Amino acid sequence: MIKVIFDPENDLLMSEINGKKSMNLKISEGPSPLELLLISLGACAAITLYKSLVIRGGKVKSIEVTLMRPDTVDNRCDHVKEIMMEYSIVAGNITPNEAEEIAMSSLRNECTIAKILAQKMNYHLKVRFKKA
Amino acid sequence: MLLKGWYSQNGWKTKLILMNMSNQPSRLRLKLFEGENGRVLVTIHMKLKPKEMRFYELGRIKRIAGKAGVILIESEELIACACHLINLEDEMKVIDYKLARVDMQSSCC
Repeated sequence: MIKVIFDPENDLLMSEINGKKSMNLKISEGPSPLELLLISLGACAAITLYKSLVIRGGKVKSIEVTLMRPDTVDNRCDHVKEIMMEYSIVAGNITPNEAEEIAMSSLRNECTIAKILAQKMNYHLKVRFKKA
Repeated sequence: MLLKGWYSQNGWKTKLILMNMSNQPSRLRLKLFEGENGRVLVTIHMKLKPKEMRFYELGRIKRIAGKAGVILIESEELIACACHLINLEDEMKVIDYKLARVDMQSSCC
């Protein structure tokens, strides 16, 4: 169970996972809830891609996921319909074409957060690959 | 789907028996590694017709002569693959096995 507590007096957003404190955020300083969602998407995409590459014999040094919202109008949350995602992968034992193919398939078929958000959003994917 | 096994061209000769179990054509990518954690020595691309069965002698690939290691086969459709290894010194020594399916671990969540 995840509990989110908002304390407006202290400008604090707290979360608990199964009764244990997991995160405290100052709303004015920390990431906004929408940015947290995008962080979740990026984290899930990176971890899923890492697993997909490793299982295929890839030797992954690093994966960087950059997320952008090209269609944001006046920074309003309800206008996010498209996400530009850029992967920068440093890995060995894998070709650039393969990395791109695996990145696409892992995002579409395996990444839990991307699958949930896909009902409302389109992804545009770009993969940069550097041989490790 | 992803299949994993072991080949050896080091004192052995290896033959793969690939079977497309589906009614759709399937593109395959075979990767032969040096040892268990080494580099990729060869990547082979092939396409199997629906229900096609193909024999593939690894002896035809010069780059893996004298080598042994992991073989990974990635396929769009459901396939099965068996591996037939024959010892070069004693041809009565034979190993036959079916490549194991590797399942993708669950995502991060």
